[in-house]
Amino acid sequence: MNTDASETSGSFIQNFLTRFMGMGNDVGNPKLSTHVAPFLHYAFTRSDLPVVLPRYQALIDEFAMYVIARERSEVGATRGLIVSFAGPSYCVSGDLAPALLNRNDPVDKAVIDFFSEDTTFILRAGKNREKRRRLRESLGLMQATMSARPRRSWSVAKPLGRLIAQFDAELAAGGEASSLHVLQEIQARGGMTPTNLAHLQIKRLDRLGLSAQLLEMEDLPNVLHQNPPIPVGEAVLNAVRSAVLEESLSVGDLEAAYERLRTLDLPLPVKVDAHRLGPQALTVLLTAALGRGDDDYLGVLLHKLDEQRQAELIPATLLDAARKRAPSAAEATDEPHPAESSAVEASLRGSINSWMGLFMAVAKEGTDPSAVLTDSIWREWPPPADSDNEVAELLTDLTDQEWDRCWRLTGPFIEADEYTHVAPRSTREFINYALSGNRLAVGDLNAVYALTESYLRSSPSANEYRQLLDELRDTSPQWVSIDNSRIVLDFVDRLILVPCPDESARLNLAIALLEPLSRRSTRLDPATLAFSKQLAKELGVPLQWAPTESTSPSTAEVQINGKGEVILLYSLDNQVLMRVAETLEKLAPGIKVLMSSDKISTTSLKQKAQHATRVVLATRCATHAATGAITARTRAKIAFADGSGSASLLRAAVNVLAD
Amino acid sequence: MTPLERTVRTGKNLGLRAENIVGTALIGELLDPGKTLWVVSGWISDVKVIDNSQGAFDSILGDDPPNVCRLSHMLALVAATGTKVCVATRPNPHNTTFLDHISEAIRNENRLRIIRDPNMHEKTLCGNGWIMTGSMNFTKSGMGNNEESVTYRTGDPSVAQAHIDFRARWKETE
Repeated sequence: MNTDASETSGSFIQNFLTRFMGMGNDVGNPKLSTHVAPFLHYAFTRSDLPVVLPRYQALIDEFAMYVIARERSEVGATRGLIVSFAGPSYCVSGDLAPALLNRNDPVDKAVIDFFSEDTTFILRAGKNREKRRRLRESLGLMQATMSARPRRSWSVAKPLGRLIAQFDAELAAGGEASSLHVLQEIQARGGMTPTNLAHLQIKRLDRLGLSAQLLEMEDLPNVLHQNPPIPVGEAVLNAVRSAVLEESLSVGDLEAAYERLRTLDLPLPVKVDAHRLGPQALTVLLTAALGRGDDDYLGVLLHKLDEQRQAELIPATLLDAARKRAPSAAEATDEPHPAESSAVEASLRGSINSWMGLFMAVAKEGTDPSAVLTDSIWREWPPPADSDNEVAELLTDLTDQEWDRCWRLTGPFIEADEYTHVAPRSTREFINYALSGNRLAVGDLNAVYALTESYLRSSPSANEYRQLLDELRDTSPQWVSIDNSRIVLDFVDRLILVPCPDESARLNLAIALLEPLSRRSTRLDPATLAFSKQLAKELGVPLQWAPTESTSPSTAEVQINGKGEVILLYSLDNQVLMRVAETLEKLAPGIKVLMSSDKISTTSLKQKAQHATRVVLATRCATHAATGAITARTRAKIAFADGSGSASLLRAAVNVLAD
Repeated sequence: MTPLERTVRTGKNLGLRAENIVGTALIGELLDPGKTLWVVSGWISDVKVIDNSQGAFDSILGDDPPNVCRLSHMLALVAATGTKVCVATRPNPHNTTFLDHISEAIRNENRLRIIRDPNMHEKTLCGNGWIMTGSMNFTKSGMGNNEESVTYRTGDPSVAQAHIDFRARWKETE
C-alpha cells in the first residue's frame, strides 16, 4: 500500500480532481468550499483511504457523495466502512453495491478514466438538506477516523472456500443482497476462473427467478459450450421455461413454443441426463424433443416423468402430445449419460450417497465436497431429518478443524430443510459451532438465523429452548448493532412467532437484542424504528426509543396511500407473511396486500403476480418454478428481501413501496 | 460439434509457415462470423495472411480484392460482418504500425477494441468455435522463419473458456 504523500499529491490525483470538480459538478461554489476542502485534503494526502468526494447538480438539486475504492480488492472493505459510518441511517440509496457509472456523464467518466467502472459507491440522502448534511458529516468522520488509525493492510483476503460456503449459505438463507456482496467479494478476491464465477451468477439468478436477466448474460453461450454441471444447465432451462416458453405453453400453442425455442440463439443442453432435472427443465426438454421429432428421447423423458411422479407438473397439452407421439414410454430406459468430469469426481459420487456419508467424508477424511455440491447430488438423498440422530452424534465430536470443513455444507443443509424436514439435533450442532466458533460476521448471520428458525420450529423442550436463547444472548454483544438491525429484528420477531416455553429466557434475549438498538434509535429509519417499538411492546420490554421525527406521515405513507398500490408478498414462511402484511397495513392503510407461499407456479400465484403493482420476494428455500413464474408474469417493481425473517421482508417492502 | 485438434510445428527447417494457417482460419471466420474475434499477442505486425495473386479469393475479399491480403485487411472484413474485433497487445512501439492500420481499416468503434497490456505474453487467435494458440507471435518472424508450435482446435470447450477468460481479464480496461 502506498502512502507516499508526494505520489498522492502528484499529477494523477490533481488531474482527476480537476475533472471531477469540473463540468457536471457544482460544488465549486465558494459557499461550499469549507465543506469540500477536507475531502480534497484526504484525496491528496492519503492514498490508503478511499477517495470520498461530494457532487452537487444545481439544476436538478441533486446531491451525492462518491466513495471510490482505489482497488477492486478494497470494494468489500469500503462497503463495510460505508455501512458502519453512514448507511442505511443516512443513505437512501447506494450503500450496498458499487454504482453503474454513466460513460456519458462527465463526472462519472472522470471516475472511469482514473479509477475503475465497478469500485465506486454513489450515496444519496434524498432532497432533505438536513439528511444531506448528516451524510456528508458522517463520511467526513469516516475519513478522519480512518486517517487516524494505525497504518496496516485492511484488505485481508478470506479463503476462497469460506467465501463460497458463505455464498451458498446466503442463497439458502434467502440473503439476496448479501449473496451479491459475497459474489462481488469472490470476484474481487480472484482465485476463481471466470467460468466458475459465471456458474455462481447463474445459480443466484435462478434462485431469484430472474430468468430474463439470466438469459441476457453475455457469457451464457460460452458457459453452455463448456458442458456445465447439471444444476447450471438446469438453471438455464428453468429460465427458458419461464421467460421463453411460458406464453405459448399457457395457451397450449406447441408450434409457437417450439419455434421460440428453435430461434433462441443459445446452445441449450436439450438432450441430457434427465434423471435429476425438475419439471421446469423437463418441460423445455419435452418441447424440444417433440419439435425435432426425437421419439426415442421423448420416451425416455416420459418414462422419467412417470417414474418421478412429476407428470402432473407438465402442461397438459404438451404432455398429451408427447404421449401420443411416444406411446411406448414405459419401456424406454435408455438415455444419454453425461460424461463424468473426472474419475475422482465419479468415484466421489459413487462413494457418498447420504448426508451421513457426506459429513463423514468431509469431516474425517478431509474430502473436498465440491463435486457433490456442484452437482447438487444431495437433492436426491433423504433429507438430514431422516438420519438426524446419527448426523448429530457425528457432529458433536468434531474438532474445530473438522467443523471448519463441514461449515461449507451449511447452505445445502439449510436448503434440505425446505421448511418441512427439520433435523433439530443436527441443526443445534450447527448453531453450537456458529456461536462457539465465531461464525457471527455479517455474512454468516442470515445462515445462523435460518438455522435458529429451523430449530425453534421443532418445538424444543423448555430446557432446550432456554439453553439456545441464553447462548444467543451471551454472544449478542458480538453481532447486535445498528448496522445489523434488520437481522437482529428478524431474531426478535422469531421469539414472538414461535411458542414460548420459558418467558424469562425470552425476555432476557429480547432485552439483549433490543437494548443496543434503542440506545442508538435515532439512527434507525422510520419503518425499522416503528417495527422495533412494536416488537418491544409485544414482548413487554420497557425501553426508551427516539420519538418519531414528526407527526406527519412517513415517506412511504405519503407515496403509497391513495395510489391504489397492490403489493404481493412471497415467502414460504406463512408466519412471516402474516406478520409483515399486518404491519404494512398499519403503516400504510391505503395499500392492498396479497400473499403467496406456493412452492410451484399455480394459477393463483400467477394471478396475484399479474395484479400486483409491487412485488417482494423472500427466496429462502424458494424454487425457480415459483419465483420464475412471478418475475415472468408481473410488470411490477420487484424487490428481494435480504433474509427470511419479518424485518427483512418488511424492509424490502417499505423500500419498494417508497421507491 | 465434434472436437478436433491439430498441432503444427512451423519453421524454416520444416518448410511450414504459419501464415497459411492463420489466413485459412480467418477465411473461416469470415464465412461463419461470431460475435467476437480475439487477437491476443504481445507483438503484432501487419503480416501477409493470404496470397491472392492468383485471384483465388476474389469472391470473398471485397469489391477491390488485393493481391496480398494483410492481417488488418482480413480483420476489417471480419468486422464488417458485425463481429467485434478485440486486439490485445503490449504497449510497444513495434505494434504501432499494425494498430494504426487496423484503426484506419475499422472506423466503427463498436467493432474494434484495442487493449494495451504490458503484462501479456499469451499468443492466441480465437473466433467462432475455434482457437489457435501456441508460441507464435503474429509477426513476420513468428509466422515465417522462427520455429514455433501452433495448436488449432475447433468445437472444444476450451474455445468458450478462452472467450470468457479474455472478457473477464480485460473487462474494465478502455
